[in-house]
Amino acid sequence: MSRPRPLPPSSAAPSAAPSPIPSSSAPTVSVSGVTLSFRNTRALDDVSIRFGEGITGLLGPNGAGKTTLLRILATAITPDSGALTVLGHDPRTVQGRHEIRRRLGYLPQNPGFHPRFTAFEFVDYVAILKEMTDRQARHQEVRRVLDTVGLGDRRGKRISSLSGGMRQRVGLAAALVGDPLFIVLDEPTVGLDPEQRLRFRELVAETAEGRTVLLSTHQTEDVAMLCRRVAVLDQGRVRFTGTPAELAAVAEGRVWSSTERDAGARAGWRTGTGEFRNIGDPPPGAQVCAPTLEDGYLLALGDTSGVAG
Amino acid sequence: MTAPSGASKEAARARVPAGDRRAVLALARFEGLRLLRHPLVLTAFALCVVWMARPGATTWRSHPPLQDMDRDHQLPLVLVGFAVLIAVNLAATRARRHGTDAILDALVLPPWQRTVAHLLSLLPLWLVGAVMVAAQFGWMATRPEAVGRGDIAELATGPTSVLLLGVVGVLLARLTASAVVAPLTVLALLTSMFVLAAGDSGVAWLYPTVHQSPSGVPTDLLDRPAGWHLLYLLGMTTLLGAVATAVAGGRRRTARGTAVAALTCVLAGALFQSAWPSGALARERQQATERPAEVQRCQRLGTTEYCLFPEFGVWVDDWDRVVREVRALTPKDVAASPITVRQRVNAVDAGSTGSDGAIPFATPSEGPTGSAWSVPVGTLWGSGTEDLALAAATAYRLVTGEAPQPGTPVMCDSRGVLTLWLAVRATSEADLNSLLDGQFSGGGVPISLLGEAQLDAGWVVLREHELAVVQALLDRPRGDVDRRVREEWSALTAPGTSSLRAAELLGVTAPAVTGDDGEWNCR
Repeated sequence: MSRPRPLPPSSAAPSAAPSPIPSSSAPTVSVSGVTLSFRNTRALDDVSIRFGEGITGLLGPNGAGKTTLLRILATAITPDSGALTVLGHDPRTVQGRHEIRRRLGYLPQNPGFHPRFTAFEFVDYVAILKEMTDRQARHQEVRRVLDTVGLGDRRGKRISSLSGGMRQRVGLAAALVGDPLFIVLDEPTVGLDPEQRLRFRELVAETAEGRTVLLSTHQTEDVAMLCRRVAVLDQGRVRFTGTPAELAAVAEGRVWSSTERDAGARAGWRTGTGEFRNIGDPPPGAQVCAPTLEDGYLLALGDTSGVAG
Repeated sequence: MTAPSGASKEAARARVPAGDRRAVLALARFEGLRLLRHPLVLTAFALCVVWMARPGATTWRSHPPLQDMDRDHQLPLVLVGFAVLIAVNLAATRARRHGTDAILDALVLPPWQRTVAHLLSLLPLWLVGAVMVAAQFGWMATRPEAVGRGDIAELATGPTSVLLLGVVGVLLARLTASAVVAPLTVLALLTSMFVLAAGDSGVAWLYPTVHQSPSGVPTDLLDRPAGWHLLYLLGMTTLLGAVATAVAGGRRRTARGTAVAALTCVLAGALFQSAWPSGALARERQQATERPAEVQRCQRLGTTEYCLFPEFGVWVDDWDRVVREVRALTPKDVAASPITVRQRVNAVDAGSTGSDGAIPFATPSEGPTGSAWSVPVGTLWGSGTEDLALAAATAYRLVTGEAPQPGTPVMCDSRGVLTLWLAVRATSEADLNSLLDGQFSGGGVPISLLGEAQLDAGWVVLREHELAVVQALLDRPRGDVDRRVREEWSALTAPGTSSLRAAELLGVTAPAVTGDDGEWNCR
């Protein structure tokens, strides 16, 4: 195995200034120089990012700071420093936090459920906490979102009797209830089988219409399928922002195949055909392949030792 | 960015601007309904209903003394309160136990408002408790034989106890997410309640309910500090609620102001309730106990004069029915002799325990001057034993010319047989079985002077031998025995006539006196 080489500066886009992500409208979320430390660990380091309507993917390895950033945007925690606005409000103020929460749908990484609640009760409970006080209208809304996530016929079932995929849909319904403008989804497809993931993607794609969705994930496939924009976070810093195509383009000309693992490659693995797929700076005359989003993501991370094979 | 999708106009309608307070109320309603449906709470309420409706619950169901019945519900509702403490604690710790606080942290209602909602969710339980109390008490109060007056503060104490214990559950939830703490707290409260609240110290009044007052004391002589105690409970409820809200991050100034006001109520309530009973009340109680004639009114029915505490007037007809039944079994001259039936109560020891509680029937103003002896009757009626006691006391008076005295006199002769026979005949003969249930280990049978509920008034005792004669008489035709009683009255009531001779006069064979019977110290 070869020693990984440092990522060239051109392959990622870390920036101190907010980097606008292409959007069809004004940015919904603007983060500038946000820093947050937990004791001696710097979870976010001078993070700046802006995005607007549509689905924005947030890629990064474990411990990259994705969940921390999402929790800040969901107003659950406050950064040590930096400026940010969500839907035009500052979450560091009580009033701003209040206004954001009124328009927010948040599905945390491990949401937890009350097992003795039915799906309807759980979403109804969340709806109340979102200040939906008209009982009749609230119940109609709860039925609507449960229908949307395909649980209309299971709304009376206790959550303890639902499968993992169904629970995740209950969580999505709870996030969607109240028709939020900004939806934060933290690794929503973890633990789902391929069919459930596909169904979940459909749901997210449908619900993103007219809203701003921030989707944190390990799955580059999810980003490729769903997102108009993507940001890569690693070690608390933004490594890339752009479209999925632009992220894949980071690897343009830097993926090649060979019959043996190339010692100069930053990462390489044997594919199903028996050939090696190498990522890095190709040697002269190498058989260059079409890059994927995952190739671009791996190069954007700057440290691929974990995938070297 | 676009406007909210038209797909959810309902959502926009459901979300009311500046709806914090209404959202808290909506959450309180949601949690309240869940609390009401909680198995623990349902079970506790069901047990409470069973308790209230149990056959012996209101021993004097047919003749309820309202000044006692107004607190009959308090203990069972405290048990409901313990169930509510656990259930609301589970609800308030739910998010942390199930890991949903990650979701809740990003929702509009902050923890302190959710805490307020949990506190408000207890109000439906208070209401259910209040309805149960009102139904039970209302049913009793509408009975024609009801006496005395209920106290609205006593009636509110039970439901308020439910509220207070529920607030304790919410406060515990704010202090720790452990689901074990609430049951342990219930155990500790339950234990301390039965240990400390059962005593006669002022500490007892620091607990939600206080049971130290005996039954049957006339309303004006009871005069429990129920109003102060209710103020104490409400203050404590508000104080703990304010602390819970503050711990959850509530507005400190509001919480502090509320807590100070509540603490004032707690202190005022605790202070005034501990000063009970006042010196004036103690004097009135002593007077009613030792010199009841000074505060009673009398009314004459035939040759019987009934002297009673004014609020018990509706029972005179019931007493007179028993007295007439006894008189009817005696010779005409005896039946026509004047007697006084006087209501007795031990109000001196009301509010305390540990006294021997014997009611001083013989007082200086009512010394043993022949007919001046009055027949005692208690301040409770309707359990089934009081009429036997009155019949026995009346029979004793007609047979001996005296009234029974506390100090357990043992009747070992013909007069014992006759007294018991008249008492049993004048009431339900089935009551003989209840007498047998209370038989002493040495074979004696006690007849409480004022009924089983006022045992501290003392009793007269019959030996097993006299009881055996009466049992033998019950196998004989009633008319034949009644005729012999009238014919042999002089012999049967003469001092020194033995039980064996009485049996002979009445036409039955008496069993031999046993060794146990011989050991009694006869009067």
